[in-house]
Amino acid sequence: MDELKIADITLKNRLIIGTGKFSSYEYIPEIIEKTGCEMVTVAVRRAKDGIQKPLKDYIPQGTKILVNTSGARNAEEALKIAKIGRELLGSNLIKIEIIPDTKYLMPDNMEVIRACELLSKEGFKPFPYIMPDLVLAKRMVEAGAVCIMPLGSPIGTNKGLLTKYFIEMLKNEIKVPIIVDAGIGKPSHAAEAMEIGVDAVLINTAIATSKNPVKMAIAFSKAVEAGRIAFLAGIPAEKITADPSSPLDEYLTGFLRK
Amino acid sequence: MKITVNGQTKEVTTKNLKQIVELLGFDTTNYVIVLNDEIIPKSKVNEVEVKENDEIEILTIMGGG
Repeated sequence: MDELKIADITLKNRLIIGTGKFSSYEYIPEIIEKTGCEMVTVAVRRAKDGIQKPLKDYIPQGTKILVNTSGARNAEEALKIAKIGRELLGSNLIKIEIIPDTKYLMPDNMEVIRACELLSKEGFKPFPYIMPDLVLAKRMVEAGAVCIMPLGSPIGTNKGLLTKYFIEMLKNEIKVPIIVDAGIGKPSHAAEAMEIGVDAVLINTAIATSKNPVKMAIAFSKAVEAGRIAFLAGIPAEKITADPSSPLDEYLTGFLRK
Repeated sequence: MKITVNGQTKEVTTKNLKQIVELLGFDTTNYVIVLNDEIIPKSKVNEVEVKENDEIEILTIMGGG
């Protein structure tokens, strides 16, 4: 069985879905049902009013919910948000997102290292969202990160795997799972990520802002599965010169040319 | 008594935190209450008394990536 183990959880499905930007939460249960998605991400915010049906009611029982620390600008703020998330959901899993830059939403990798230390000491299992950097990612693992979540390109840009080579470095050198998060704009990007051997992908904008989020989620699900199977099958190396698929024989090289 | 709830000033007649939160239309299972920057565990909400000018944040999970 091809399973992904992160800290003390096991996932069979390698598509993780972010719940932001949907025009209606009504899409979420149908997407989870049709893709078999086992983990979704959520944020912590002020409650709007008591009449609105809470997001939790749209997430089927058994689905793992990963709270993010979006909005945090330093490790201390991330810890506060994480504690609120834990009180809400009773889970120690936390996606560390520390973003001081509002234009490109670049994560503060140094502060993320500090947050991994701080949150680990408080019993959390950090999932750090980072700009892929091998040296700093190793520091995060030393500080207790249970996986690494490198960005493919900035959040919401749909530009795909602009950081592919750097993600490959992480995959080759880091023992904890690698989950590509952010920037994946279409299913082929997700397949490309899975083909290089990353363990899972997290998709939000590309599904939530599609004209048909349910169909798009299904397309992503198939792409993630195809990419994973291809990786496990073993993708042949690229070559500089051609190598015929139809071999020549003596009929072609001899008889035919008489 | 004047308190602040999610950034807005409210006039309340009870001191009991759980009652205040419920009167505002929130249950205490899907929401976490932060009183003056301190998380109030669900099991304690009924025991906490609110004072004049206290700041309450009622937080929950929302869509996020």
